[in-house]
Amino acid sequence: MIRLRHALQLANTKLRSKRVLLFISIVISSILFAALIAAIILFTAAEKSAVNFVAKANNGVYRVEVAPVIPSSIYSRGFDLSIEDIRNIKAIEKQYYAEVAAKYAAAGVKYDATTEVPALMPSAFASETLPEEQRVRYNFASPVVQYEQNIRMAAYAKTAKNKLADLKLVGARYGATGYYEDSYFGTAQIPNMKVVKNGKEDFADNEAKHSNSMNESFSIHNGDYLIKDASLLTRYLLPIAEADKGKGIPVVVSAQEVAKLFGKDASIGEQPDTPKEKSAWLQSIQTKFAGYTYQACYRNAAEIEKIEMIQRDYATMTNNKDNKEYQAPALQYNLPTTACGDITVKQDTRSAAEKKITDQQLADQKKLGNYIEPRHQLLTFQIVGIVNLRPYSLYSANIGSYLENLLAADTFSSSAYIPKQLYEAIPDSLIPVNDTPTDQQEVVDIYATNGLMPHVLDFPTVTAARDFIANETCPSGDSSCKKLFTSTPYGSNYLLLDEIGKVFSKFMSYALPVVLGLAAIIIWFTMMRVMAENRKETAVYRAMGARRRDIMAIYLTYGMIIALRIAVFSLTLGVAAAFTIHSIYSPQLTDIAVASFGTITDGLQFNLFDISSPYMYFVLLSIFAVSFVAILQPLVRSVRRSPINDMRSD
Amino acid sequence: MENKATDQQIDEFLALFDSPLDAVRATADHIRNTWDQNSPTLQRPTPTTPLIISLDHVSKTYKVGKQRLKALDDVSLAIHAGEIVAITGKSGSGKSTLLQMIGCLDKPSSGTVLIDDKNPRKLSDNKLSLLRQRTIGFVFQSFYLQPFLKLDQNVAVPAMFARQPIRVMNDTVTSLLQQVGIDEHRKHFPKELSGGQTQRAAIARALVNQPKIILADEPTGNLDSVNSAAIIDLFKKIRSELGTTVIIVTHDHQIAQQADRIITLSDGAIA
Repeated sequence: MIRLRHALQLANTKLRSKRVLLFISIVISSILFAALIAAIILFTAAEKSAVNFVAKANNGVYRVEVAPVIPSSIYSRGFDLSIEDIRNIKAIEKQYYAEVAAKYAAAGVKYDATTEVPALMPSAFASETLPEEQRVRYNFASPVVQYEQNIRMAAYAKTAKNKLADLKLVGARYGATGYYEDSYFGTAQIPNMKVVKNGKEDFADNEAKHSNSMNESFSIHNGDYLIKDASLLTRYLLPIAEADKGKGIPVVVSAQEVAKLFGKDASIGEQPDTPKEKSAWLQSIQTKFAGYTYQACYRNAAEIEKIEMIQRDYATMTNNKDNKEYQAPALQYNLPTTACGDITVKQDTRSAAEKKITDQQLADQKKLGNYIEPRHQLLTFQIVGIVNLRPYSLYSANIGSYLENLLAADTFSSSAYIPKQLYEAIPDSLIPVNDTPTDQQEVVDIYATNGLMPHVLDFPTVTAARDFIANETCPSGDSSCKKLFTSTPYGSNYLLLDEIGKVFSKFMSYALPVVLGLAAIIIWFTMMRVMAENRKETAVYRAMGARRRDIMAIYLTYGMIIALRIAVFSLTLGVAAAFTIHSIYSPQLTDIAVASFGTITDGLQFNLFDISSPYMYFVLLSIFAVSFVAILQPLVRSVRRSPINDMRSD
Repeated sequence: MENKATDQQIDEFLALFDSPLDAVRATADHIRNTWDQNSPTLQRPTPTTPLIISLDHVSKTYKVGKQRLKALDDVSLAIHAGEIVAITGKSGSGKSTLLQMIGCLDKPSSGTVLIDDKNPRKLSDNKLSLLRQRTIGFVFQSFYLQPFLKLDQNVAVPAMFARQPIRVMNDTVTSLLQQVGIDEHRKHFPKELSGGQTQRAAIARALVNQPKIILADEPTGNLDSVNSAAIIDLFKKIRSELGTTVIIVTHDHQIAQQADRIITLSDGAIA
């Protein structure tokens, strides 16, 4: 057969025919492949950069929050109660009030059975066809409802197969570590706090506020603090000088609320719009407020109740100022006038008899152990971490906020957080006395003491985390979950990245065949035309003794020269395009990423240029493959032609 | 007769692929010497030279639509090695078809063609290609040189297909270009040459694989009378020096007269 160097020599002569067509088809094919190559370069880099930021934010581990699936029959208080349910509830109700009566008797306090609230009440929605006894529903005002649920929960806990110990066995198969306890309910562990500003509490601004978007939070305002394992908060923690540490209850709070409440102290305004400004804004808050202290007044539930009563009385008195028939309360108080000051009595015009009744009630409460002294305590908080809240919409119009969501989808709720280990290290004098009545904590306790709280697991790789989630858990909130646990990625949206990876693979699985197909058609057409043009020459070669395989060798060499040109052009074009996009957008994306993660990122860059993807080399190889395939059909046709006919056509 | 390669010689020649360089040189020298000897013994073949081409009652029919067109009708002829034969006839008389039969480009509908003792009908496309490659050199009216190859490369093309050793190929090309008198143009492209020079290059190309037969289809059709005469002289020289059989298809009587023998075709039959 003809030598390669001669095949090359003869193939080269064919590059001179159909030059315009050849040029156009090389350019179009190159643009198609270049687009593919650019997409691969950009995506590979973006994914890697995002993974780097995620790894930085997650301390190199991939977190999943896992909660045991508690059957709805355990915690739900349905309307469709069976006869057995109803009889069971009634028995429990009887038992509950018997216990209460016994407690009163033991304390020597007269028990008034008329204060009992029945556990069941008639249901307006019950079907007429049901027997009278069954046309009832839970009465949520009754303490029995909670009591009954606690019994059910305790019974479930005894046989549950999804306690912490079980979770650890499952997690071990995926290399999970950590198992940090988290809270189900987001119940504030230190509630009812008012920020002290300018040396006073603002009682007029007493209402709890609710944020309308993920861009604002009122955690400090509402005194909404959750204690959380410090390991789950490390990404937000700021460097604080050793001497400044332990000046107050350590808190991680949102940059947005800090700016709103204390921004004026440090000449910091509200959150700006552009990524660059946002990134700078965030970093200046991180710098200026690391270790910043503020005070808030903690008033316990009894005192809050008292203050609310005082405020109600004030309002009523003001409204009835001109009402002759209105009788002001006999006992009136003054609201505290100093920061975290005492409530003082304004006037007490009660009769001796009235006083006696009140005193008797108080004495009875004390005997029963139900009385809580109203109490307040001025607390000092120290900002040890800043979190950046992000807009919530996943379908934002602008690419920046889309990316923010993509990168930093965060499980940071509207609460402020107290890192547990840091909290435990501060002096006792700074810690508020917890006198929340135990019965309000009971459910949490049943979950907690039985290892049925949600836990956060650390996985060494994204794959391990993903596999664990897929194999062992349902998505959080899946009411028809048949598995033992539900889960949600924790801390940042690395799994979404993984999903995007899948989407890219899917995109490639469509785009690659389309591009290859188009390129094949273009090359095929060009080859047809070139071979048609060269028919006579082929016939002459055949007359001179060229075998079919020689002709094939020449044209295949020719095809490979064209493939090489397409490969070189598309690689150059694709790399250049990707690099240009990288140069333009990388700084901007770095700002967005820094702002999104809200962590100190040590100059980590968000790159858009990475040529390490095997996909890219696959595309380059496929250019040759597709050229080979596209040339075969016209080539086979061409060599099957009789040389005589082609020579005759002179 | 020693210049006419037998199958055995071809095999020996091909065996040179594996030969040491000296042997390759020797072969090239041999080719050059043969040209230089200018041997007078091959002026005109005697009838005793072996048959190189024989057609025995050959007919060829083409289907044109539903009509059957008889391009060759019961043609029998025998050509001996070293003969110069002119085939003439009006256009449509079947001379091109006859040329294709002899050139192993086409197979007869009936009858037997023997080229160098081989029956093309019995050969695969591959073997047929090899037969053309080793036995036959084509010369065309329109020259058909590759416009983007220089002359020496153009001449080398059939040798490329025969996979001649590079050194042999280069030496052969050089001596052939010298012999046809256009060596000074070896690095020129065909369009830089006159018609006569181009046809000389084409003849050199036809000779590069040392064929036993040259088939020339109207080789002077695009040339003036001076150049035509020179080309015929060149054919004669080739015959006398290499013993090559030359078949010239032409409608030019003056050219035909130069041949040893004229075969005139009329309506597909020998007149």
